[in-house]
Amino acid sequence: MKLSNYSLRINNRQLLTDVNIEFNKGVINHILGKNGVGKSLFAKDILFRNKSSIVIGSYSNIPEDINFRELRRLLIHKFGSNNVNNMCDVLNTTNIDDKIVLKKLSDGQRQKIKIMVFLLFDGDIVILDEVTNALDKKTANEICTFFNQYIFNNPQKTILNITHNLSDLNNMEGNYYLFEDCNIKKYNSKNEIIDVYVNGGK
Amino acid sequence: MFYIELKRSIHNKTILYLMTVTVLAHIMGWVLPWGLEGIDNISYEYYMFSTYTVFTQFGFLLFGFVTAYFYNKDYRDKNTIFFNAFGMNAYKYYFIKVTVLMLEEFICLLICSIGSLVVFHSNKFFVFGLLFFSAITLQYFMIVGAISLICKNMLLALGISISYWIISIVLISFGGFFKYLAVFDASNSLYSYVEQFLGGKGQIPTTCIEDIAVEFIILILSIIVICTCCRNSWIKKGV
Repeated sequence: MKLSNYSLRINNRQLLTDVNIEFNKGVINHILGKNGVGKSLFAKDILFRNKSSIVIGSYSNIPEDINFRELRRLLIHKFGSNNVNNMCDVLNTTNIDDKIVLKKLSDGQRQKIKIMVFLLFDGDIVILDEVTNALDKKTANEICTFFNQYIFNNPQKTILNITHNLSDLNNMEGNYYLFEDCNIKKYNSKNEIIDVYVNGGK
Repeated sequence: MFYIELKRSIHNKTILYLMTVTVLAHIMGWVLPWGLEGIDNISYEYYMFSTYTVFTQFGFLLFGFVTAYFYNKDYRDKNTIFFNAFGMNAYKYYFIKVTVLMLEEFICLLICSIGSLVVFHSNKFFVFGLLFFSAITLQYFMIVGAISLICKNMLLALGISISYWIISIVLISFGGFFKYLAVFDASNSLYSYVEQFLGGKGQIPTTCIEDIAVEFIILILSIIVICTCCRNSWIKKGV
C-alpha cells in the first residue's frame, strides 16, 4: 500500500502532511506513536478509503449479545463451514463455550473471535489497532503467533499493526514506522525505533 | 442478519421489556377508568377504548425508550463496521430493526389480546385491537427508530422523539396536512370514530383508514430520505 502526498486533517487538526510512504505486502508493518498523534484516525481513514480493508480494533466490535453458536451459524452461512472451521482451529476457539453470550467471555476469547470474524472477510489490507492491548501474556503471544503464520500463508496481504505494546515487535518480525511531526517515518531496525519511541533517540 | 437481530433482542431482554410495557398498557386500560372515573364494572368495550387511549397518549413514553436503546446500542458498542461488512446498509439496518421490534410486539399484543379475551369472555374487538395497537406501536418504532438512526446520543434521540410527540400534538390542532403527523392522537378525528365504533354507535369511515395509510406512506418516504442522508454517516457514527 503506497501513500503519496497523503494528508489527514480531522476537525481543524492537521495530523499528517504530505506523507509519502509504502507499507509492504507479506510483512507486518508495525506503527508506533504517542497517544493522540492520530494513529487510529489514520486507520479509520484507510478503512473508509479502501473497500478491501478491514480493521480489528476497539472501534470495530462484534455484537456481544449473541452467543458463539449463533455467530458461527451466521459465519457458516456467509463463508462456508470449511473456512469457518479452519479459522476456529487455527485461532484455538473450538474450546469456547458456545452457549455463553460473547460479553460474558474473557477478553482474550472475545478478541480471538473478533479476529476470526474480520479475517474471514479476506480484506487485502488488515489493520490491527492495539489487538494485544489488555490481554494476558499467553493470549497475546498466541495472537502474535497466529498473525506470523497468517502473513506467511497470505503474502499478498498488507498488515498494519498499530501498537504501544513493544513485545508485539519482539513477537512479530516486520517493518517499523513511527508517527511523529505530522509524518510517518520508517525505521530500519526494531532497536532503532524503540530507542526513538521510548527515549526520544537520545 | 434478521436472525442475529432477533437473537440479540432475546438475549438483551428487549422482548421482555416490550412484553412488560404491553401488559402495563393493558392494565392501565383497565385501571384508569376505575381509578379516574370511578367506573366499578368496566365493560369490554370501555376497556378496549381505554387501552386504545393509553396506547395513543402514552405510547411515545412507553415504546420510545426501548426503540432508542435498540438502535443506539450499536453506536455505543461500535458494531456498525461489523454490520457493514455483512452487507448491511442504513436502509437494511433500519428496516430489519423495525421488523424485529414489530414482530416481537405483535407476539406481545397477541398474548395480551388473548388474555383480554379470556378475562372478558368476548372476542368482538380481538382483530380490531390487534390491528390498531400494532399500527400504533409500528408508528412509534418507525419514528423513534428514524430519530435514533440520526442521533448517536441516546438521550438526544429520546429528547427529540418526545419533542416530536409534543410538537405533533400542537400542530394537529391546525388541521390539514398536520393531521398526518400523529393520525392516532386523541385530537384527531379518528379517535372519536374509534370511540363510536367501540361503543357500537357507528363504523370507522374509510377516509380514516386512508388517513392511516397516508401517514405510513409519508413515514416510509421520510425514512427513505433519512436513510439516504445517513448512508455514510451511519457507519461513522458507530466507529
